[in-house]
Amino acid sequence: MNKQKSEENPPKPLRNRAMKSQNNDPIAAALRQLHDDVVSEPVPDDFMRLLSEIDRKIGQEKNGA
Amino acid sequence: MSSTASPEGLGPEGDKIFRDQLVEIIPALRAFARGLCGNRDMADDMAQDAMARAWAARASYTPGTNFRAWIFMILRNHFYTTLRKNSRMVSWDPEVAERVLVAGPTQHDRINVSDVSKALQKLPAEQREVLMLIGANGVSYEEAAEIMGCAIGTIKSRLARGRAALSALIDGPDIDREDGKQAAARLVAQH
Repeated sequence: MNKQKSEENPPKPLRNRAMKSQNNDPIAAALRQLHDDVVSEPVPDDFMRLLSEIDRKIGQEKNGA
Repeated sequence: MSSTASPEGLGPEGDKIFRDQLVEIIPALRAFARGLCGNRDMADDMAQDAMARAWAARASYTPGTNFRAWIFMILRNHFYTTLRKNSRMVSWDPEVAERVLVAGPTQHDRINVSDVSKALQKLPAEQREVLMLIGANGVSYEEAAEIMGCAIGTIKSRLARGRAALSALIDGPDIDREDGKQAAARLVAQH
């Protein structure tokens, strides 16, 4: 279908940066928000348990070496 | 088990550094998994599995190379394996997609995170993945290509199609007749 690939891009005026302020894409914003929401959650205990298991193994490794 | 220096590890020092990288990546890994799975518990299970697998395979990681790309790759491979085994996680269902669409256009200036999250789950997994990587996690085309094991051109076209499909699901079809490529470029530009 889309055969026009490489040669069809007209020279672009500078960057897309101008769009950033003007044309705030709500979908882009929502995607980033989705990411940020998860990142700001406290890390669940299960992850900490996994890490302490790893720490235990590192400790053993040190002592056994 | 033998008591000699573990061939599967990086030595005590290397293991410690690796462990710290694991800690640091947890939030981003959880976010990527959440976007892929939709469901919080399933995503966290997936992220923990990826961490455990990464730890077990740490000897195959080359220190100094892109750790995020490496562990994201482990996560997504695990995700696709699970997806293939588990029919409940089947994503693309045109009828369901249509229903979301019927729910009607949202306000244009602001979209709920939960709407985007729901709509994401209606997309083919590969489009969802690239939208999460680039649109949400903010990785570059190059890094996304590395993680997904495909060409940059493939990444770009998946992003464009994914962005257009997401837009259609949320706002209804041809809201502003925007070219998917343009919109995709904006996803990148806004980071």
